[in-house]
Amino acid sequence: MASFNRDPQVRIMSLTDSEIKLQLSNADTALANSFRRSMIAEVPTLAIDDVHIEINTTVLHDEFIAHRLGLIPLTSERAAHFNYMRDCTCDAGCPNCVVKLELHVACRDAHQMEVTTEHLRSTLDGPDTSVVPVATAAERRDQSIQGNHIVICKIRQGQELKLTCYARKGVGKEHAKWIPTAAVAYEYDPDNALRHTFYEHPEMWPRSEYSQLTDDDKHEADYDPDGTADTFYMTVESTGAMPPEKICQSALESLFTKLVDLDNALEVLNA
Amino acid sequence: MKGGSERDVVNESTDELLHHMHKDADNVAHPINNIEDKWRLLPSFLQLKGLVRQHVDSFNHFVEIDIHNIVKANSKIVSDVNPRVYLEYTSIRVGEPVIQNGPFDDHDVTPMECRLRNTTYAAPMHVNVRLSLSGEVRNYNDILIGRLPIMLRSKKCRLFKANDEQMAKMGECPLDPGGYFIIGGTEKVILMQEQLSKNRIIVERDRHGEMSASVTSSSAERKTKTIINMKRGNFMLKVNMLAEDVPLVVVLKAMGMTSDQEILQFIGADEQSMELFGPSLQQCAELEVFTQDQALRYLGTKVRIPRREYGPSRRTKEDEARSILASVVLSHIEVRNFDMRPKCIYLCVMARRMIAAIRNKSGGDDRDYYGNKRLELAGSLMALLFEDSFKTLNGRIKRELDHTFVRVTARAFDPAQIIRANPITQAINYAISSGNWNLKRFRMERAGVTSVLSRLSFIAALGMMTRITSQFEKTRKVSGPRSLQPSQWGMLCPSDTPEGETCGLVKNLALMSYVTVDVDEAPLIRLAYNLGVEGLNLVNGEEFSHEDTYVVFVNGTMLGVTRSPHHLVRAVRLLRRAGRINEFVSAYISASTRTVHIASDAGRVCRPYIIVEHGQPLVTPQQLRDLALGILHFDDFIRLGVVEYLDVNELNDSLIALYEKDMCEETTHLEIEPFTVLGACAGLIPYPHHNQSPRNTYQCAMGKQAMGVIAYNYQRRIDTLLYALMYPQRPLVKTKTIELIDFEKLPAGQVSCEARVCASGPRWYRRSRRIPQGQSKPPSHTTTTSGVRFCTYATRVPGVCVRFATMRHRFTVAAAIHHVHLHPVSALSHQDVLVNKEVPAGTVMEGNKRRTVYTPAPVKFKGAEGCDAYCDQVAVTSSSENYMIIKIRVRSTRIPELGDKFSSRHGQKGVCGLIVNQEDMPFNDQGVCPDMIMNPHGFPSRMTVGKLMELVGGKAAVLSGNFNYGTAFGGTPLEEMCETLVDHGYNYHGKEFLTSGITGEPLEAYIFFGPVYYQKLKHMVMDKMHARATGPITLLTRQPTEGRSRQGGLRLGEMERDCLIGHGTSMLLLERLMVSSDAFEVTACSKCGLLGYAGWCQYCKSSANVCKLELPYACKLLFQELQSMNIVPRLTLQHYSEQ
Repeated sequence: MASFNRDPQVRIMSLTDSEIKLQLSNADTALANSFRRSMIAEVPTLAIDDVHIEINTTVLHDEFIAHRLGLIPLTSERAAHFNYMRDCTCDAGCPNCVVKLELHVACRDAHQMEVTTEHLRSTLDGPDTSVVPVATAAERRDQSIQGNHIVICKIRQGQELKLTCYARKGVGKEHAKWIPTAAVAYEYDPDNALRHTFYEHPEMWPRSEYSQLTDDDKHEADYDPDGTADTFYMTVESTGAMPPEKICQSALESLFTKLVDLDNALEVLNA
Repeated sequence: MKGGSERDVVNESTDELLHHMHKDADNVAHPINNIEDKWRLLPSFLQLKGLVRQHVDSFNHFVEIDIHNIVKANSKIVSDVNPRVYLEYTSIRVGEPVIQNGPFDDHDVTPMECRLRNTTYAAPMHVNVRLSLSGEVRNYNDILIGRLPIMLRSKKCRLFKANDEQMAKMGECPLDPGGYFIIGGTEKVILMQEQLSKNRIIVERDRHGEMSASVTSSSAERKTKTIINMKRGNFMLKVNMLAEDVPLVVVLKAMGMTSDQEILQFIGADEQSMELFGPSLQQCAELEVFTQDQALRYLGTKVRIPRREYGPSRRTKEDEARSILASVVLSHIEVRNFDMRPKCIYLCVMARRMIAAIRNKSGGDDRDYYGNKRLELAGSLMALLFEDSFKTLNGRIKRELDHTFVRVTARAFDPAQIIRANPITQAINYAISSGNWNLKRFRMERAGVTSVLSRLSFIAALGMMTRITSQFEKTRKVSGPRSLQPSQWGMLCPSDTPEGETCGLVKNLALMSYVTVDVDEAPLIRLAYNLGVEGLNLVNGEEFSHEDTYVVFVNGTMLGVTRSPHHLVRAVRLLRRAGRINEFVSAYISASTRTVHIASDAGRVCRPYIIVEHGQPLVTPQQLRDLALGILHFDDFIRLGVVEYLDVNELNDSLIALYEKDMCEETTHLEIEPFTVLGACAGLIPYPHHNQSPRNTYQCAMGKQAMGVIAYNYQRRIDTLLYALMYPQRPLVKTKTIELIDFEKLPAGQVSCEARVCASGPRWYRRSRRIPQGQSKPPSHTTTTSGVRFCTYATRVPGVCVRFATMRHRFTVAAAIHHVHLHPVSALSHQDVLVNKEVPAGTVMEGNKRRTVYTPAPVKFKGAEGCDAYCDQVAVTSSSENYMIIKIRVRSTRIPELGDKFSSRHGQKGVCGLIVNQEDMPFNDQGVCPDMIMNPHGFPSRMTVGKLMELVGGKAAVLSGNFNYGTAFGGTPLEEMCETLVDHGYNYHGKEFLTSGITGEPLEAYIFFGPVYYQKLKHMVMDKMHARATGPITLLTRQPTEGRSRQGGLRLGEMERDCLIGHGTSMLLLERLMVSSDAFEVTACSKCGLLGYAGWCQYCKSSANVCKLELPYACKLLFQELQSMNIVPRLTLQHYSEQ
C-alpha cells in the first residue's frame, strides 16, 4: 500500500544502442517486476509469422527454415503503428498489419554460399520499407557496420531458396520470436541486507556491481530487519528490434493501458 | 643494429634448440620413461581397424581363405554309377557387387542403390569346373554358383578404401562403420555369437553332483561330444553313438592301451589317484575284458546301430565299435591307421583333470570364465552356411550325374545347366534376413543370429556392431552366465547391457578389444616341436605323469610334453614380438593342470598392451612423438615388438600395471588407457566413474534412443523410420571416446542450461522426474530441441515390366497404379491417400471378352489427426524382380511439448512437465534464465555425481571457451573447473543467485545452475497420445480392438478389475466389462439351459420357457466353442428379484 503514495523515479545510468542500465527507486517489487515482465512479454514487435516457400532445394527442410526466419529480429520501432492481424479490418492482410519480405537466392558456382538476412528484401509495394532485419537497418544507418547478418542457411551449387515472408505484429506472450529483449537483469539489495536469500558462506559469492560495501573483508551487509526493497537496478539488453529505451517506454505504455483497463473495469463493477 | 639483434635472436633460438636436444638425449640415456601420451596409441589403433574391424576381418577371411578351403574340401563329385564320371571344382571366385536388372542384365551397384531399391548387395560367385565323362575331360569356366551378400567396407565392397569424396559420390556416409549386409534393402547385422570354446576339456559337476569332464569336438567333418563321468565310483565314457555309458578302462583297452599299469601311469600313479581310479580297473576286470578284442567285442554290444538305407556290406559289431572309437570319440583328434594312442592319452588326461578336481574339492572349471569362450563372427557363420548349401548343391549334382549316366544314351551334359545359382543365393539370403541358422548337417538350429541394424541414432548403429549375444536360454534364472566376470576386464564393456530378460546375456565389446580370426596352426606345431616338445609317442606313462612334465596343447589338440614350459612359452612370445609368427597367437601356462596352451583359433577376444621389461615400458616417448606426427602407426608398434595383443588366457598369465606408477620388476605389461575398459556407448558418459553403476547402464540403453544426426547421408535415406534433430550440438564436457568415435561429427543432443530448483507445486507432485521447460528464449541464440520424424510408406506394384508380368503372373493381370498422388511438399492429414493403388480382384465376362475388375487398395497416411506432416520425398523405382516400388517419406516436425521425454547422459530421464513463459522463468543477476529446470530430489537416490560434475565442467567450458574432458578415470579435475568459475566471477560451486520471474523476489536458496548435455529421446507424446469413445471392434469376439494403431480401446485389466471388486462397485464393473465392451442379447431357454434363437429354443422345440438376457459376446462364443467340442454348458436362469 505504501508504494502508491510514493513517486517512483527512474535514473538511466548508461545507454547504448543495445543496452540500457537503469535504477528504479521509490518503487516496490510488484512494480519493478511488472515492468520487467512487460518488457519481455507485452512490448509489441514485428516478426515473420507466415512463410510461403516456393523453391527450397537446400539441405534444410521448410519448417526448419521457417522457424529460423521467425526468429530473425526485425526493426520494430514503428510496431505501434501497425494493427494486430486479428484486429485489422482487412481480410487477408493489408499494409496496415503485414509487411512482406522476399528472398530469392540461388548458388551458381562451386562454392558454399551463405543465405543471410541480407538477402531478405522488403517489397516496395508496402508502405514501409523501414521494417527490415536488424543488421540491414544497421547497415543503412552506418555504412561501416557490415557483415552482422544472421545466416539463414548455407547452400552449394545448384541449390536454391525462394520464399515470401509475412511479418506481423505480436507480443512475446504469444511466441518467443516477438520478444524484443535478449536478457533482462534485475537486482535489488545487492548486499543482501534484507536477507531475502540465505548465503551459507557469503565470502564465496562474487560481489554485485551495485554493491555499496566499501570494506573488502565484509561480504554481506548487516541485517536490516525493517528494510524494504525500494531501489532496483535493471539492465535491459535489446535484440536490436527496438532501441532499449523504446522497449522501456513501450513496456510502461502497455502496463499503463492495462491499469487503465483495470480501473475502468473496477468502475463498471462499483457502479 | 637491427640486423644484429635479429641474429642474436637466431643464435639464442638455436642454442635453445640444442639445449632441448641435449635434454632429449638425456631422456634417452636415462630410461626413466614418462609416456603420458600413450593414449595416442588408441586413435591410431581405431584408425587402423575401426570399431567394426572384427566383423570385416572375419568376413574377409571367409571370402579370401575359407571359401576356397570349403570348395577344395568338397571339390570332387564322383558318380556312384561310374567312378570315371566326375565333376571337379577347380576354383571359385567372388566378384564385385552387382545388381540384377532382369534375368540377364547385371550392372555395378553401390550400397545406397540397394537400400533404395530394396535389393540385395551381393556379388556373384563363379566357379571353374572340370567334367570327366568316362575318360573325356573338359573344362568349363565361369559358371555362376550363387550370389554372396557382401559385407559393407569389406575387401569386396565398393566402399573398401574409398576416400571421403568417393563415399560422397556413392551417397554413402564416410563415418558409417560398415560391417553389415544389405538384404532386400534392409541393413542386417550378424551379431557376434558367444559360445563355449571347442576342443577344450571342461571339468565340472553334472546334474547328480558327480564330477565329469566333457569335450565338444569340432572338426571339419564332424561335431561330437565326449563325456567322462562317474558312476558309483567308476569312470564311465558317454558318447552319442553308444547306447549306454561304457567303462572308460574298456574304451582305453579297445583303443589299444591294454596294460592296466600303463593306464594308471598315464592317469597318475600317486596313491590318491590309484585309490580313485582303482575301482574302475576292478570293474573292467570283472567284465572279463583284458585284451583289445575283448574290449571291442564288449563295446560292439553297446553300439547303437543306425538304420542303414542300403548295405549288403554290413560291418561286424567289432568293426562298428572300432570305427566309432576312431571317428566319434574325441573326433577332433586325427587318427591314422587306427592308431588311437593320442586319443588314449587324451582320455587319460581328462580322467586326470577329474581326479585333480575331486582331490581339490573344487567345482571344476568355470564355464563362464571368458578364456573358455569363443565369439563366432559373420565370417565363420557364413562359412557354415555356404558349406551346407554347397554340399546340398553337390548332392543334387551327383544325383543328376547318376541319373544322366545310368541310362545308356547319355544326353549332352552341360554343367552350367545343373549348377544353379539360386539354391545357394536363397539359402544365404534367407538365413541373413530371417536370422535362422538351421543347418541339419551340423545339427545347428539357431534363431536370432542376425538383427536389423538400428538406425535410430549413430550410437545405436555403432553399438549394434559391437554387440555379442549368447546362445544361453533367456528364460533360465541362473545368475552365472549373466553376471560380470572378472576375466571380462578390458574385453567387454561392464556397463553396456540391456535390462530385463537378456540382461548380462547380451554384451558389448570394449573400445580396444578385437576378435581373432583363424591362423594356420601347422607352422605352430612345427615350431613347438623345434622348441623341444617331445611327441606323444616318445613318452611313456611314467614320464608323462612326472610332476615336471607339462603337456603342450595347440588349439586344444595334444601335441606332446615338455619339461621346460617357461622356456617354451617365452620363446613363442618372443617370436611373436619379433613378428616371426602371427601377432594373435597366444601362449600361456596353466600351472594347476601342468599344461601349456598355444592358441591360434578364431573367436578369441584380445586387446593390445604395452610390453614392459624390467619395470620399464618398451614404448619410448620418441616413438610416441613420431606417432603424433604420423611417422609411426599402430602397426609399427606391433612390428617393433613394443605393443602386443593378449587374449583372455594370456592376460591371466601376465602381471599388468594399470598406471606407470604401479610398475615393478615383475610387471609384464602396461595398460594403454584405462578408459578403454568401457565400450563405445558407455564412453559417451562424462565422469562415469563418479556415477552409481546402474545409471551408466541406463544411459547405454538411452543413448541409443537419442535423436541426432544418424549419418551424413540421412537426407537421402528412405528408412521406414528416421529421426533427426534440428540443432544438434557437441557436448561441452566431452570424453576421449567421444572424439574417437566421431560423436562430435554426428551428435545426438543439445547443451541446455539447467537449474536445479525444487519447484514444487501441486501439479508437479505426481512424478519426480519432470522437467519444466522454457519455451521462450531470446531469439538470437534460440536452441529449440525440435526433432524431425521421417516416416516412410512403401508399396510394391508388380508388373511394370510386361515380360515379367506375363512370365510370373500369367493368370493375374498386373495391378495398376492410377497415379501417385503427391509431389514432395504436400501437407498431409489423417487418412490422406498417398498412393492410389488398385489390385486386380478377378475377371468378369463381358460378352465374349474377359475383363479384369480392380478394387482400390490405397496406401493411406496414418498420422494422428492434427499432426503437422508433409510429404518430404517420393521415390519411384524398381526392385531387381522388376516390381515397381513407391516410397513416400513423410516428415513431421516435433517441437518439444508437454510429455516429451528427455535425458541427460547419466541415466537421468524425465518428461517435460511444464512449459513456462519467458517472463515467468527465474533468472540470474545477468538476466540469464535456464532452459530447463530439474528437481534436485532426483539426485540423492540416483547418486549421479557425474552429472553434477558435468554441470560444473560445462559452465567452466562456456566461461573459458575451452571444452572440458570428463573421460572415465581421468578428465578435467573438479578443482580446476571450480577455479575457472571463480576466475570468471562466479561462485566456486557453480551455484547462482536466482530471482523468481513470477514474484520478482529472490529464490531463498542458491541454485545449482549451468549447462548440461541433454538428449531428446524418441518417445514423444504425439506418437503415443490416444483415446477413444467408441470405435472398431474385433470380428471374432466383438470386443474393442487393441492398440493405438487400430484405434483400440483402453483395457480395464485384471488388477483394475480387482480394484472395482474390492470397492464393491458391481454396476460399474458390469458396465466396464460388458456394456461398454461386447454386450450381446441372447435368447436362452430356462428349461434346457441352452441358447436359442429369436425367441425359440431349438433343443426343446418350443418357445415356452425362452427368455432374453444380456451376455458378453465372448461368453456366448465360449459356449458355442465348448459345444463344438462336445461339452454342453447349460445356463441355470433365475430372475434376480426371485432370490
